[in-house]
Amino acid sequence: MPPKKLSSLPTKERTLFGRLIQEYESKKHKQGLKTADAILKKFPDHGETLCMKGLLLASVNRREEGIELAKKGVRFDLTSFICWHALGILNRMDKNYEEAIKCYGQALRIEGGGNLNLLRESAFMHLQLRDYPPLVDKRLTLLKMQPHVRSNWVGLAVAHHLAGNHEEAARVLTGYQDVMRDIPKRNYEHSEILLYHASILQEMNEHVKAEQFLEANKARILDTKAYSEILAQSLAKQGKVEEAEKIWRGLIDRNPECKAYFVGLLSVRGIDLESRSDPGKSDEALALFAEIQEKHPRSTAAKRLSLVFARGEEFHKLASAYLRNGLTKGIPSIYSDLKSLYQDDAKREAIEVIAESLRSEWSPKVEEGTDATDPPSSYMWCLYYLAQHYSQQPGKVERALQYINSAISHSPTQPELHMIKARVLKRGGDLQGASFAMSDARLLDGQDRYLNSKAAKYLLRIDEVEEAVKTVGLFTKPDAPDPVSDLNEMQALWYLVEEAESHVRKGETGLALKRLHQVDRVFQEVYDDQLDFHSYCLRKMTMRAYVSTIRFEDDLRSHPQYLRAALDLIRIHLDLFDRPSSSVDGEGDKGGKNGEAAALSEEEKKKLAKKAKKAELRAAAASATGGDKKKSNAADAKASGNNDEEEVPPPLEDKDPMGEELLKKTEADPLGEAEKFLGVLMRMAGRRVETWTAAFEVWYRRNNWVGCLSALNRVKALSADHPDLNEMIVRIKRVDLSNLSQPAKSVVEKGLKGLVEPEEKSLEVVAVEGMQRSPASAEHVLGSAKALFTLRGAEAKRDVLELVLGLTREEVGCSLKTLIKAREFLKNKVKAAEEEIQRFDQEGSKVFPLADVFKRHEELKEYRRVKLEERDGWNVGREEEQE
Amino acid sequence: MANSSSSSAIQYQPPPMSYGPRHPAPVRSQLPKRIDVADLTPNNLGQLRKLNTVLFPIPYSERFYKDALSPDVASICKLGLFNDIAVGNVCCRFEPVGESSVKVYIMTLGVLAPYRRLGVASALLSHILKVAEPGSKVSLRAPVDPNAPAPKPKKGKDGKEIKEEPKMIEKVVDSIYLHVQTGNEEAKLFYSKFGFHVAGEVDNYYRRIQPSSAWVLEKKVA
Ligand SMILES: CC(C)(COP(=O)(O)OP(=O)(O)OC[C@H]1O[C@@H](n2cnc3c(N)ncnc32)[C@H](O)[C@@H]1OP(=O)(O)O)[C@@H](O)C(=O)NCCC(=O)NCCS
Repeated sequence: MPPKKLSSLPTKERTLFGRLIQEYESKKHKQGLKTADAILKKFPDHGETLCMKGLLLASVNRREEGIELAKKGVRFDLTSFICWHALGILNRMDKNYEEAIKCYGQALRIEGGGNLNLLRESAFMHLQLRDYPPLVDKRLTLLKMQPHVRSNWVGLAVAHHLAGNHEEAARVLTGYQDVMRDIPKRNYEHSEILLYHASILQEMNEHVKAEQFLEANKARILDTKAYSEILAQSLAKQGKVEEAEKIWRGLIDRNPECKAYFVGLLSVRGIDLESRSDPGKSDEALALFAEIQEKHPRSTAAKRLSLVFARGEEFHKLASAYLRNGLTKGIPSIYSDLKSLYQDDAKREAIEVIAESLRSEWSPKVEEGTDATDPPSSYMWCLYYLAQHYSQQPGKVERALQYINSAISHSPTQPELHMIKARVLKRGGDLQGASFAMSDARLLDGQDRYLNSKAAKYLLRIDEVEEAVKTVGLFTKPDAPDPVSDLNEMQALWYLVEEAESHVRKGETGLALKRLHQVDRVFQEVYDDQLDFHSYCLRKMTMRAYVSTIRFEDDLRSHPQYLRAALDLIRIHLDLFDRPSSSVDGEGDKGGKNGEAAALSEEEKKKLAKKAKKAELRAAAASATGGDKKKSNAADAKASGNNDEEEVPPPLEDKDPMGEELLKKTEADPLGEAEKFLGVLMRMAGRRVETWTAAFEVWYRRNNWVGCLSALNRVKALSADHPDLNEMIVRIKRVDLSNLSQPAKSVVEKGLKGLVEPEEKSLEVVAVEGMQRSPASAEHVLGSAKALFTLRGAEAKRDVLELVLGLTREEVGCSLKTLIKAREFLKNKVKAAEEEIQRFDQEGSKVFPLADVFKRHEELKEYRRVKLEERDGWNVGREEEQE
Repeated sequence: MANSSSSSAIQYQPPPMSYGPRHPAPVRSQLPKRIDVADLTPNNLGQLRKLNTVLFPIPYSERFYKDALSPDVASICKLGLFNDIAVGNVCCRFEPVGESSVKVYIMTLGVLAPYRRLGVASALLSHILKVAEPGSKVSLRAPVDPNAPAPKPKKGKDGKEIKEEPKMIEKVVDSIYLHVQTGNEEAKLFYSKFGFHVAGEVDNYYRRIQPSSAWVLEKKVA
């Protein structure tokens, strides 16, 4: 950092200041701080020294202090390049990119505008902010200053491209190719840029140009696969069918397992995977696959895609061969491979017939000398397949259980069987049994991290948080302060969300908030990590991958785990708003009927608090010794005397391990907090109906009726027969508008007008409309029950009870998930009496005999005891030695 | 009403809840199969536990499982895999005989019923006979003298501790032997194929099962 402006310091201090700069640059932070203090002792108002000290403070993890100091320094010396640059760096560290860019701008102005480094850094930050016009500006300046640098051309092209100006991007790339004449023949970076150029032409629908461009540059494009793919697409778009087909076929010859090539080939003929309902196109596709299979008889991709298009006899024949092959080979994933075919009922039934006939063909024979030629492993995999097949069909969970139990008695050591048993039980609602089965799978194969994670997840589902932590701890870094902080570091979203939801069930709101905020932070980190990526990719020139990454990052928070976490957060905030006092103590609702649950969770809370404290202490201790123990090598190096000045800043310690502070902060303004996450969802998951039902709830509590109406309309647009719609309409229609100002009132009234048609229809009618549809789904009946309750409150209790109880009738075919929702509604909203809940449970367990929720506490306890005994029966050896 | 058949009306018999031994398969050489002899590790010990629980009427002690993982017996404690499924195991130990010989004692050898007569036990026993054929020599870790002073840990150039190679001594395998319940003709037939003979009978060998007597099957140097 060259000090452009002479410091107004005497010689001695000026020398000291020079040293200070050096010490900062060679990362001698402690010494630097001393030097800075020496200057400040005499000249406490010296701006540049203050700013340098600010930088040094930030380097030793005192960033906030550092920023304050640097701000002060700038005020003393508004015309110093060093001051503005330092404050810019600090703001960038603080991820306050808007401010950082402003500071860099000041520094540039003072210095004359030619500082390449600052220009480049600012450009990266504009990118990070997706602020395209100034990005293009900066990039243009950089190119003008250094037209001989390759990355400046590409940087400008990408800027235009991302800004949506494809034409300019292509023009810049053409310019680049005109200027750069001395590039060696086989240059990978150049090849990438050419492909990037071609893909931009493609995006512009300039297929003729793209083709010509590719042909002209063929010799210089090294990635021939990408070359062929883009060329084939461009040819197809121009209707040059034969040429395009030839290329796709060539690609298939090179890799007959790549489904995308088959899809490409089909698309040339105007066939896509949706064309399966068109017999003519299907036959054409099948003929094509048959022809390719003559050349590539082993191509699984061709066989699997044929199943999409085949029908009737043909399907039976092909699927038989496919299934037989998969099961004799013992491919565990074959069910998830074929599942997408189940959308077609006829195909699902055909597969059932095929698998059942394989089962009888392979089943062990009773009479001697009649055993078939197929190995027992095929039979086992067949049972395994059928168990999965039945488990996802309504009402067949018990059948699935028979199959998987049979398979386990046949081959008890096979971990996958226990895993499927766990899934089957989970679908039947037996979460306890499911957790035992999943842990069995893990105990049979301790090396499989997937099984380990699943076992932990299933433990979390039954709120055994401590056991779950122990289980994941078998795989997390041994030197991490505790397993959860390692998982957080590793960005294991699934774990954070599952643990959070367990805390919600137990009423441990603080910890739930904490984990869910950690999820949010993981997404923020992933987004922030791009900053380094911008410069890296410009050096590597892998622009196609880069642009698709940028686009991916734009939609980052549309990730399903984010949606889930954000919806959980909003729900917690709504609860906090609705009953602000109850958040302090855990009102567990696990199964509900156990008064012990609350007490237990209280006790557990204390235990957890203790544990978290310990972990925190350990983390602090670890950071005090310079991070993890792995660094002991570095420590050795230190002891041997070299490099002892370079300090690694310790990781920030967790000041709120139980989320108590977070809870306090949240309680101050739950709706405000909810709106933050809602805002993200509206931007990132606007097509998800859950976003808008959540928005309705938040805005309803804000008395934001216009917002409610717009949320309602979004729900309607996305899912016209959403089961909760009528309840929402009833609720908003009953709002008392008399307090509103006249203009506001008329806006709301106008919005309300179109909601119900014809307008004079009574709310009574609206409320029960859902259940009168035909066929009325269980969800709609529940929706109507809710609407009735909203409309008439306690008065409607009897009708509501009757409706909800009706859901447990076998012929309704209500899903377990909906029954559980109905139970929650009865318990928490309707406040049904204990006997009424018991009756519901009795009826519920007739339809779902396996489900935990309908079981009494003692029953579950006994079940658990039996399961534990079973486990010890095989997993623990006899105590004494006796031979 | 005639012919109102629905497509999904087929009711399949549910599968059985237990399985007997597989019959000898005349064509077994044609089966698509792979038989492997695999090492025992802490990670697959659960499979050994499962197998023993299903295969043998007597529960084994924690000690048994700890010993099975000891490096001394790594070559004679194995899992048998059929198409990658753990279906059998063999666990043996060395028993000192005098100064220079050992006996190999087969503690367990068994294969899950549906996977019998496919050659898995043969593969396991052949493996034992290969690494500890009577008359051949095996290399064992010398017993550590508990009174000797603990050796100083040595350090390599990189500062890491170097584990001292354990001292090995050679012993001659005197014989391989095992107990089977009196009357277990199948096991006798199986072992006789590999050159084992009935060398005696022990009364009251088993405590919890009947008959409580056991044959001693033995294979000596040919
Ligand atoms: C004995 C046992 C280990 C054999 O396992 P296996 O994998 O079926 O044995 P193999 O397939 O390798 O059999 C090899 C040969 O042994 C003989 N044999 C095995 N089981 C037999 C039986 N039940 N009846 C007659 N001969 C038999 C046969 O000659 C067979 O060859 P073949 O199938 O070509 O006729 C198995 O039956 C078992 O686990 N039994 C229960 C446990 C036990 O008794 N263990 C012995 C005490 S430690």
